[in-house]
This record gives sequence, C-alpha cells and structure tokens, in this order.
Amino acid sequence: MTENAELYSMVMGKYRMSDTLTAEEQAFMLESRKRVLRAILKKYRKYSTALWFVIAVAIAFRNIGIKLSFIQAKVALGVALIVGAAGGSAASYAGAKYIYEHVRQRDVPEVREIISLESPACLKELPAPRPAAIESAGERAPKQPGTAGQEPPRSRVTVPSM
Amino acid sequence: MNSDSLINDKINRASERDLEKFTGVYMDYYPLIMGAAIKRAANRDEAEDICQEVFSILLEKINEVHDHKSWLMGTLKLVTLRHYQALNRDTADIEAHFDDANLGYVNGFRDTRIMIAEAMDAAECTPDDRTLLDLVAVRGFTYENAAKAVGLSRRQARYRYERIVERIIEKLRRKGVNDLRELL
Repeated sequence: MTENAELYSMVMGKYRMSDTLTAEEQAFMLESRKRVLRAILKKYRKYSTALWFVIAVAIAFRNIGIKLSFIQAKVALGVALIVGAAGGSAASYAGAKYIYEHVRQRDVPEVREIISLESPACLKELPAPRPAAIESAGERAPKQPGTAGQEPPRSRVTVPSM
Repeated sequence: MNSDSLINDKINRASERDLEKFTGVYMDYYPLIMGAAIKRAANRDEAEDICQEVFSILLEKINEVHDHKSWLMGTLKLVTLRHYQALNRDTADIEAHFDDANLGYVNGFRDTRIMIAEAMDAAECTPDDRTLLDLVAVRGFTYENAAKAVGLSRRQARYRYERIVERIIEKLRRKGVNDLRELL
C-alpha cells in the first residue's frame, strides 16, 4: 500500500499535477493559521479573549483528531477551569498546611532551649522584691493555724515502746 | 447606508453559530488556500494578505456558500488578480497559474492528466479526504504536516491517504491502467 502511495506521488510529479511547497513554506503556513484567523476576527470586531480560548481549545482537540463544536469546547474549557481551580486550591491548602506544621515543629525545641538557657540569667537579674510587694504576698498567702509569730506546731513523733 | 456599512452590519449580526461554521471551514481549507496563494504570490506576506482577504469575504457570505472548496478557489483567483492589478503587475502569469489545462498542452500529457484528474474526482472523497489528497499529493506535504493541517494523527493521515490512493488506482484500472508504473 505504501509503495502505491509513493508511485502515485511520482505520477503526480511527472504529469505536473503537483506543485509542492518546501518544508519551510509548509511550516510557515501551519504557523500563520491562527494568526490570520485572529486578524480576521479582529477586523470584524468579533475577537474576544473568551472566544479565542474556546477556539484555541477546539483547535487543540482538532490537532489530535477530535473535532469539537463551540459548545463542546466551552464545556471542555469549563471542566478544565474547574479542575484547575480545585487542584490549585488543594495544592495551596496542602502547601500552607505543610509550612505551618513545619514551622511549628521547628519552633517548639527552640522555645524549650531558650527557656532552659536563659531562665537562670533572668532570675539573677530580677530586682529585689519591694516591702509592699512582700506584705501583699503575705496577705494573699494561706493563713497557718496558730497565733501570729509562733512557730508552726511540729508534727508528732511516735517513739516505739521498748 | 453604503455597501461597506451594510456588510459590517451583516457581520456584526453574525451569530456564534455562524462564527463556529466559519472557523470550521477556515480550519479545513486554510492549508489548501494558503498553499495555492503561496505559489501565486510574490512572497509569503502577500500570500497571507490574499488569504486573509479571501476568508474575510467568506465570513461575510458564510451562509450563502455551499461548495466551500470551489468557492474559495474561485475567490482566491479573483482576489489574487485584484491584488496584482492594484500593484500594477502583469496578471497574465497569474491567469496561467490558475489554468491547469495550459500546463497540459505544454507538457503534451493532456489526456493522461485529464484521466488522472477524473479518477481523483471519482474516488468518492469526503471534503476532508480531498484536502488530505491535495496536501500530500499536490502540495507535497509530509504526513506529519498534513495531519496537523487536517486535524488527524500522523498515523491516521497516512492510513487515510493510502486508502484514497487505492480508490484512485481502482478508478484508473477501470480506465485501462492496470499498474501505476505504466504511467511513469
């Protein structure tokens, strides 16, 4: 079958029925297709970004052998946008969550370290408590049984009998 | 209201369905028309301008045209002539380019050419098949480029082209050509 196709091309060439384009011209032609379409739509004020997206989707599907109507292209575009938005949101959420947890895990040991290292130093530098503060602390302290100024009763000691 | 404003008004009222139809025809036939324009114009930019003009007229008349390929080829000829006249160039060469029969007389292969052309016409091609045939057989497109132009995969384009050639060979066989080698 391939041989016949080649023979046919030779016949077309021999009888001057073909007028071939160079590879460069073919590439230029394929490349100019969208540009010319856009120019025509702009010329008649029919061009809009939304319409162009729909046409681009239809052309993209056409290039892989699927011909879509504008309505089908719009549906495909809508689905792609929804999936893209959902994917983007999910990725943002996962990323934010990862960063939050990562930062939290890193911060906790640092806080512990700061406390253990700096606490004594801070205590040393604390100013001496003022008398008024001591008094107020004494008022707030729970009252011990017995009179004021007396030593608290010692606990009873049981001596084992001989 | 002059004719230009009437045309613009007509196009402004073109529905999305008309635009969809136009886009479909444009995608189907742009390679064919641009290929022909490149061969007839002095350079690629001119070819692009001519092509743009042809399809602009098509957009104006999208609902009035039925045989798109014939209409586009005829309009291409008119637009090219008009373009050359506007530039004060000799239009005789352009007319010769469009007239295939002239080449037949020059080469002395007129009868065979007509027979092959008839076989191509009788091969019961769909418009897409005909475009594919023109691109590969007449314009020498690679399967890959032709596939991009008509919206097929490379393998599909090759398979379909080979099927078309088989049908043409069958038609030629009925005209007494048993093997393509006889024509070489």
